[in-house]
Amino acid sequence: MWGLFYKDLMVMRKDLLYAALGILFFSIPLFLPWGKWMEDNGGTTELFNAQTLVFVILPVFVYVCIFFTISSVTSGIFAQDERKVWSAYVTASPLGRNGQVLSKYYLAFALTFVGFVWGTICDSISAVTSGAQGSAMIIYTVLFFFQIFWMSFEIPFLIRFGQKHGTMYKLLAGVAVFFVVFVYALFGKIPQFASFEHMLDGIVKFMDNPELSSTAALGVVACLPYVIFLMYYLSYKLSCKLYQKGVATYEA
Amino acid sequence: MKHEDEQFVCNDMLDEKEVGCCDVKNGRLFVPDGKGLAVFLLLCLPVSWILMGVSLGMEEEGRTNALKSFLLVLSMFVPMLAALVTCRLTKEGFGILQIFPRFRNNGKTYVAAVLFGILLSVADYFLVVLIFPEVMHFDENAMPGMLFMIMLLTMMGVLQSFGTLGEEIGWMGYFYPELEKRCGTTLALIFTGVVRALWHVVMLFYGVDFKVGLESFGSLCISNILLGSVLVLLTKKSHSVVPATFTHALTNAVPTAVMAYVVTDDTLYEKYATAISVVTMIPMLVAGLICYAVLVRKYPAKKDMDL
Repeated sequence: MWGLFYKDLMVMRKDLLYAALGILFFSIPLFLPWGKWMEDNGGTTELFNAQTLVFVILPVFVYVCIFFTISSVTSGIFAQDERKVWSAYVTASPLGRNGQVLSKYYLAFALTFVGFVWGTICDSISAVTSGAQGSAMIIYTVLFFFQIFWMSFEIPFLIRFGQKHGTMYKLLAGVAVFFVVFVYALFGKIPQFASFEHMLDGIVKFMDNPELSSTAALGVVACLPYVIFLMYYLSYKLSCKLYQKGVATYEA
Repeated sequence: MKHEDEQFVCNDMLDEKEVGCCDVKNGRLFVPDGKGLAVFLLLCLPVSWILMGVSLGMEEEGRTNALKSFLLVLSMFVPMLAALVTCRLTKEGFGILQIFPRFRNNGKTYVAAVLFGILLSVADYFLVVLIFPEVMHFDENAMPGMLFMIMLLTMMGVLQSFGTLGEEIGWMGYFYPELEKRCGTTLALIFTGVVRALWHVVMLFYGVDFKVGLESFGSLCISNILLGSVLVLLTKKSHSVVPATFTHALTNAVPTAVMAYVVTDDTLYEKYATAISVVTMIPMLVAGLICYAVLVRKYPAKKDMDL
C-alpha cells in the first residue's frame, strides 16, 4: 500500500513542487513585520482597523488560499490511474481495489495534514516576525477539518464517475445546493441573518446563552472532528464499493 | 510473529559476524561501538539546553513572548535532528529510527497508545479526588463538560503531536535502542529516563512546568523511566515511534482538560503536597511496571538473552 502511496508521490512530484511553491508564496504576507509598521503608522487605516485587517482577515485569506491549493492537488490524485490496464493490474495484485483506494485516501489525508502542519509552522513564525497578537490556530484547524469533510464527499464522486465527469457532477451538485440557498435567500424568511454583524451577534448570543449552556456548544465542537473522521472512513468504504463501477467508465 | 522472525535473522547474522546488529529491512550491518550514542548526546543535550535557556531567560512581553514559545518548541525537535545527524555520521541509515507509521496489523496498538495517553493523564486526578476529597474535588457540573474537553484535547493532541514526534524520534527511535543493545532492557530504561530528565533540566532550573529542586528532578527521573517503559513497549509492538508520540503528546495535552474542572483547596494542598505527589505517581507506576513486565517477557533484548 505504501508502494502505491510512494508511486503517487513520484508521479505527482511536479504538481507537488508547484503546489509547495504556491503555498510558500501565499504564506509570505504572514511573515511580514506588520506589527512594526502599524506601530510606526499609529495602528489604524481609513478602511479597517489595522489589527483586524492584518491579524484576522489576512490569515483567513492566506490559509484559505493554502487549503485551496492543496484541494486542487488532492482532486488531481485520481486522474493518473484512470486507465483500465492499471485498474486490472492493481485489482489482480495482492492489495486489490481496497489497497488502491486506501492509498488514495491516505495520500489525500497526508497532503491535507501537511497543510495543517504548515499552518502551525506559519502561525509560530508569524507570531515572532509580524508580532501577531493571538493565534490563527482556529482558522487553519477549521479549514483542515472542512477539507477532510469536503473530501469525504468529493472522493466517492471522483472514483465513481472519474476525474472529468466526477468534477462535473460535483460542480452540478454544488450549483444545485447554491441555487436552493440562493432562492431561499431571495424568498425565504431570514430576519436573523440580515447582516454579517447581526449574524455574528447571533453566534455570540448562542455561545453565551446560559440556558443552552456552553457545555452543549463545547459538545458540538468536541464531537464534530470525530464525526468528520468517521465520515471520511465511511467515504472510503463507499469508494471501495464504487471503484469497480468507476473503472467501467474509463475511456482506455 | 514477524518481529520474532526478524530477531532470529538478526541473531543468526550476529553469530556469523560477531560485530553487532543488523537492520534487516535495509540489509545494512552496523557496528555498535558507542560512538553514535556519544555523538547523539553531544549534539542533543547542549543545543537543547541553549535553546531552552535562551527561551526561558527572556522577559515575558509581546513579541518576545512569541519568540520564547517558538524557541521552546524548536528545542523539542533537537533530539530528532541529533538522531538524524548521528545516523548520517555513523552511516547506520535512517531506517533504524522507525519514523514512519505502520498501520497494518497495528491498529490496536495505535488505539492503545491514545487510550494510554488519556488514562495516564486523567487517572492521577481521579485518584487524588478519591483519596483526598477535602483537598481536591470536581466542579459540580464537571462531567459532560470535562468529557467533551478530553475529547477535544485528545483530537488536538494527536494532530499537534509532531512536536513530541521530534522528541520520540531521538529518544525512542535512536537513544533507547542503541542503549538496549549494550545494557539490556532494564538499564537502558533507567538511563533513558535519567537522560530525558536531564534534557528537561533547564526547565527545572527556571521552574517551568516543574518545581525547582532535587526532589523535582528525582520525581521527573522516575516518571520518565516509568513512562519510558510504556513508550518503548508501544514502539516495539508497532515497529514505529508514532504511537509513542501520541501517548507522549496526550500526556502533555489532556491534563489541561481535567485541571479546568478541578477545584483545589490551596491551603490543604500545601499540607498534603508530598502525599498527593506520591498518589499521582500510582497510575504511572502501575502502567510502567506492567509494560516493563511485558517488555522483558515478550521483547527481550539481545543483551538480556546472552545473560
